[in-house]
Amino acid sequence: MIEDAWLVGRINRGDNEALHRIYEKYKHDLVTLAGALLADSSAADDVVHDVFISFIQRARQFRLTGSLKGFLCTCVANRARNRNVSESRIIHAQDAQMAESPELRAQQDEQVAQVERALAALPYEQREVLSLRMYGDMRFREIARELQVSINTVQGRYRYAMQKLHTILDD
Amino acid sequence: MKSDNELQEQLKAFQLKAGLALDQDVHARIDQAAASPGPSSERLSVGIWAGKLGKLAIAASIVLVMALLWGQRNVAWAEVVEHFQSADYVKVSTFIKNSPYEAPVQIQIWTGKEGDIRMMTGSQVILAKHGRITKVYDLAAQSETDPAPIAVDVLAEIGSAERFSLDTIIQSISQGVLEDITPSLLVDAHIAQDLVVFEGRSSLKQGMVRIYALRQSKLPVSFRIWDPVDGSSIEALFTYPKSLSDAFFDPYSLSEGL
Repeated sequence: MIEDAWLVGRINRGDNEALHRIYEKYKHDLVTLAGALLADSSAADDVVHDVFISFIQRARQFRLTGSLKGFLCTCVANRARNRNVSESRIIHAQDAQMAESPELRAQQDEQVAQVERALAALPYEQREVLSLRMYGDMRFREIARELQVSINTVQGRYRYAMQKLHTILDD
Repeated sequence: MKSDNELQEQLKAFQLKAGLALDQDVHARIDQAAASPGPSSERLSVGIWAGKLGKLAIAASIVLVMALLWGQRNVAWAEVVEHFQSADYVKVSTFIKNSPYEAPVQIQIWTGKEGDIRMMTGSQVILAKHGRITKVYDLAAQSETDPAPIAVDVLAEIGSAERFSLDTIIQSISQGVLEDITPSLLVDAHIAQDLVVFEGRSSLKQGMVRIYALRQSKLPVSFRIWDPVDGSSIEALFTYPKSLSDAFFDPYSLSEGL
């Protein structure tokens, strides 16, 4: 995207305002992706924090060779994979701005919690593929390249994930 | 049983938002990075020198291209740059599209003598001199306002240049996407006998940067960056007003007119 290439070009020339803009542009998408990958919304902010701190440190030397969002999603996936340890899942309420009324907010929180529980029931490999596809907007080909597996494997994992989610969320 | 689409909709309802603590810490870290030049300033200077070397390479290739084209009576990039420099007034209409499905953002830039610039984007009129903003008016609100970020970006780029030139204009429009303008003439581009096409090098993985100039007047008339991967593009049209009044660039005249 040309807008991202603009922003990266400005960062390369030392304009940190562009870093603020990139963070604001992608923060919610990346937090959602991290939450889905970990099936733990409480840990999502930490992952995105680490990704951005690392990005800030090497931003001036960063060269954009593809999609910036794809690159950041890949960084989130790598961090999430490293962090993927089994632990009890505690569902935290999300940002107060999510809902306009307490009832609606409670309903949305329940939806988030329901999906989070369903994602937690998937094997990590399947959850990773589904999350990158669903929340990272990455193509199967890109996911296959990132995970260093064949595109058939990626599509298979996605299909199994969807089947399992059907059985969990249909109840 | 739910359909796949219904299931996907349910999954898409899983939307998280960045927490306040995350926001505050990341923004603070970015500001810290801005405050401490660290090793990056050294690398930046290397980048500047690399840029200078790149310009030397361009200059060398201009000479080469000119020598090659001498016998063909073709137009060299250096001639285009030179003729652009001789124009007193220039108007650049720029259309920026981040995707094929978005309405383009339009920016109009008029340049006058002695670094005068007038810009219009949305309902804003921005007046600047040597890249420094002097007045910003919102025509819809009929009042002074803060400049749109995109206007600040473009003007900062123009203001950072020592000399107002075609290169400055193109670099400010492309905002780093264009790495260098290479004066490589597309000899295969037989669009019209009175048009020549130059191709530049961009930081985009795929895509192209092209500058179209008139063969007779040697003035650039169009500029295009296009990324086929996502369909985003920047297009600019150059026109050359015979004259523009001093009042056109004068902030006080603008405020009186409103």
